[in-house]
Amino acid sequence: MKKALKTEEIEKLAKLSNLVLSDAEKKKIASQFGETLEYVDNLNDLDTSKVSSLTNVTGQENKFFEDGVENRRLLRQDEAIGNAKNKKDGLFVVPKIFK
Amino acid sequence: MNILGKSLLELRQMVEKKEISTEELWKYFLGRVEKYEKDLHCFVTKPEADPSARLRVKGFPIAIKDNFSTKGIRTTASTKILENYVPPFNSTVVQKLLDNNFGVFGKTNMDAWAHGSSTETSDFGPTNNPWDITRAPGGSSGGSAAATAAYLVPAAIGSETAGSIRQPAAWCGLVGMKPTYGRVSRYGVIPMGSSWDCPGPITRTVEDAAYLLEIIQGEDMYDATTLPGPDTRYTIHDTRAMKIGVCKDYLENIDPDIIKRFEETLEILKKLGHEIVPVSLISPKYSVSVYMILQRSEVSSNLNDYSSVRYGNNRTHFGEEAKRRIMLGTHSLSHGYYDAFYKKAEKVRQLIIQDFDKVFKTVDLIIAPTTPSTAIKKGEFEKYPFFGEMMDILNEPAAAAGIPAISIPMGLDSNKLPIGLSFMGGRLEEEKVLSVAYQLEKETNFMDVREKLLEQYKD
Repeated sequence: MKKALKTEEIEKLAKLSNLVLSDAEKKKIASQFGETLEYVDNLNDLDTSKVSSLTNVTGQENKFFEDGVENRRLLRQDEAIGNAKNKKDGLFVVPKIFK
Repeated sequence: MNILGKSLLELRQMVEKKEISTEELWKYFLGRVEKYEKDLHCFVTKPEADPSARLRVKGFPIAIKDNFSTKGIRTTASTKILENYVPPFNSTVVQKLLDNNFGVFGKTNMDAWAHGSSTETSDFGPTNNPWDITRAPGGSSGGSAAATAAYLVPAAIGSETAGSIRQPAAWCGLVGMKPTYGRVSRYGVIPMGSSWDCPGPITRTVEDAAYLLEIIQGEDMYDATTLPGPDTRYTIHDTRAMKIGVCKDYLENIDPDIIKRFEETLEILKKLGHEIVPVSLISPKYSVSVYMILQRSEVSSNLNDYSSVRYGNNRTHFGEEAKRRIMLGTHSLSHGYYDAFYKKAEKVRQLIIQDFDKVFKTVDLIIAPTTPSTAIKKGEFEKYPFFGEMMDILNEPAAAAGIPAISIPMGLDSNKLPIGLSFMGGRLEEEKVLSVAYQLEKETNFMDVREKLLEQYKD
């Protein structure tokens, strides 16, 4: 059974993903979604009712920086913004959020 | 002086004995890049294209996959988004190599963002397999593997999320080592699936792999997932008799030539005193599903960073594969689907981890083929709906569980293409994995795979 997504669903996901897709891309992705969702359905073969959710593959505990540890890899301001195309007075220019 | 085919450690010893200088080595490998790079396309940024190369020739040459940040050297992850990005800092792996007198000898081609298993999704064109340039070198670390196999560089650094070191190493006839998750810092590596990503070496010998791993490993204050590990040298000379498990689910749908070599290798291992025992493990087909969901979820989150505000080009520059993965990841994480997909996959991942833990109580290692087939023709990946997943089906379980694994070359198939076999070990048991691989190298010389290729790539 193909689980292809509807065009509206694809468009909603594209919006959430902050991507602009052409009509051809939407169509292709919708059909590939079907194949993928069909395959991963096999996970339901396995009973996970007694399994806790995983947080970390190695069982590592939280780690903390000591206060006052020197951050040797701190960047200078000019280095930090050196790759930005849009900057002003040593700061990143970001898109407007409020109208 | 004969340099062709010498391992990294042999070359370092020659440098130490002052038989050759690093400048001369640099010149030698630059000459080979000049001669063969046009056929192979291993590099995104070739060594001589680096304007500051002169400053670096003092270092011992090593190639670095283009998803490792290199201060002052363009780092693209083979993507148009980052085509002009010059990092202001070094990744921890690169910094550790520089501290050990290595120099960055070019940045190698890869699948864009490491999304792929053939190096064909690179935004800068594919890398060719040195065994047959009409075939793919594997991926995503395809440039690192092709360059090392054709001896354009003595060794390279790659990275894998699930198979991107082991699979290209197998297809190019090399040693590829994926360490335990957290053994090597991810700091400064352009991320793919952060709970999976592992940097590691692609080399001509097992000793070289152990040597590089010792340099790049270790706890790092800039990557909180790194593990405190032994700071000693690895022993790869452990010759104790080991129990090596074989799981029949890992032998399904594999080329007959690979199965034949696999069985011959079991006989060699028995002759070396090891015991081969059947084990049962969760079928790798479930790891494929876990990987498809979790990796894409992490991709959608990681690639959210690329909005061109701080660096790089805007999101219209994403290639097809990245868009597809972001979309699927967004779907798995979105309201209404999270429980059915993301959470379910996390729980199955937990089952896979527990399953390996249980099996490693009864055996030391598990052996399996690295790939279902040897190198395929370029362009064929389009025919498979989940090409990467299917080519890495045998690599995904170890990646899901975060355990160490090595791929070593074991001769050629009937098409004269290299076959790769893998050993997987328990968490932080790199030494066992390396030791058995080393024994097989000493016993068989990998059936002369490396020497055979270099007959086609003379000085």
